[in-house]
Amino acid sequence: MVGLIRSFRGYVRIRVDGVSPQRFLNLCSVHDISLWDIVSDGNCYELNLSVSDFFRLRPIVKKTKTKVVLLGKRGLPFRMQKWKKRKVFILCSFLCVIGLYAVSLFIWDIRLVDEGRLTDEMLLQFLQENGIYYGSYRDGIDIDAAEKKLRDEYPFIIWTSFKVEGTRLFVYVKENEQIKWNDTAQEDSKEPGSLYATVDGTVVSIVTRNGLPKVKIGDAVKKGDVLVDGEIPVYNDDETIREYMYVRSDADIRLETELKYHKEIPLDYEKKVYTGNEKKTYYFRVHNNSFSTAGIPGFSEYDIVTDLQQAKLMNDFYLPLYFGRITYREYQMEAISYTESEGKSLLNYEFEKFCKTLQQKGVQIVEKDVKIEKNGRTLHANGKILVEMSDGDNKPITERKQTGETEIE
Amino acid sequence: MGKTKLFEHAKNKVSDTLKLPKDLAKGEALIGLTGREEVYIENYKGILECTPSSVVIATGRCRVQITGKDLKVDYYTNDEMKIEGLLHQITFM
Repeated sequence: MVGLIRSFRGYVRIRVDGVSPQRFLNLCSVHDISLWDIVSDGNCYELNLSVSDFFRLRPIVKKTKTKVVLLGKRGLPFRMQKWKKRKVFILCSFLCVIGLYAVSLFIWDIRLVDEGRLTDEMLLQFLQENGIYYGSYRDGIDIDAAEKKLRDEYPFIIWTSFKVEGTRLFVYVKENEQIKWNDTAQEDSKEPGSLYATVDGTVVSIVTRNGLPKVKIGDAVKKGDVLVDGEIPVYNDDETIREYMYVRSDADIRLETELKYHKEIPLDYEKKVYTGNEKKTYYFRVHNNSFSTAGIPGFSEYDIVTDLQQAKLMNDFYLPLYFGRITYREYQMEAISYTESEGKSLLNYEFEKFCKTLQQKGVQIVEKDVKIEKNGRTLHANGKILVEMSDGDNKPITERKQTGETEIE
Repeated sequence: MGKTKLFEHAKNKVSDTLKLPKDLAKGEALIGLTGREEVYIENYKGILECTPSSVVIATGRCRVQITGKDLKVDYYTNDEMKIEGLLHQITFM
């Protein structure tokens, strides 16, 4: 720090020679002249002192009968003298500093940290709708309001945190996995409604928490049938209906149902075969304007592989400048055929993948009956899967019976 | 006991009784070392000799000779000085 201040003020390096140069040093010390980097070869001394102190040396030099030789001028004031001839350089440096400062006022990188159901695209779209995007003014972002709005928009989000570091915005999101995506709006709703079957099947189990069950275990139901009714009749002593109570039905119902499965793959297909011809170009992008060093290559069919990097100064100072390399890889489509066993194993693999997806959704597979048949040059997998799954679509009751109804919340 | 010795004795007594710092009361030099490459000296009178192998400093009560290799005075002000280099020996003369 001291060195920086000295450089800013400017200093000189001198050589002191004479009969008693030590006396020169001591007199400087007495006159409050600071010296530094004192090096001696035995006969003379070389040392640094500030410019203002240099002009105070005359009486000391006279008194000690020493000889002072100026060896060099260092620091900003002397450098400025040289820079006078390089006005354009100084101007550009100044503009560069101003430009960097201006760039630092905006957001140039958005990092999303979410391991749940919200995709990056959805989050970016939300941010965009709320005025947060690449290039938005950093101090104009109302972090608290944006966090609250994000939680309000997606009720399954239990915690959000927005953090600005340099020109980067970090968005942390934590979701509640217990709350279903589609039911978020309905969960909170207390509007009376009935549960309807969404598939044909047989009732395996029913646990009703609210509403009037219309089916029992073993009943066969069809798509659209009422499973639990939100309209509950209240009877008089003479068993006539006095009124209807309207509630929001709530029940865990599992239905056994049959799913149809069909998948086909052609035995003849085309595959990309890379020829090995490649063309590389360099790519630059300044905010939304891009430049590349060469045009599109002369290949008829090719893949484009882009390796893009964002420029940054230090850790968090990201700039709206992207650079990278584009590789065009030529390929040709070649006709290739599966053997029948290859095709069958591929269909089996697809079927297993389908079953795994069902299980992940909470569907229990009871029985599988899928057969693979060959029809010309195509393999078909057809069959039925007997599954046990949760069902019940809550639909609001729109028409109410006029018998002096009462609504229970 | 001569006048000077008597005065010196009285000064010592007073400073010991009042627990005054020795550098203030007796004009002793303060010497601080950082490893064997840096030495800070305060309360000195001046430099008597300065070569790459030896630096002799006059203090209130004695001379201090610092010997070593590639010695250089990093800074030298009215209050403090710092000597850098590979230190071999500090002698009070």
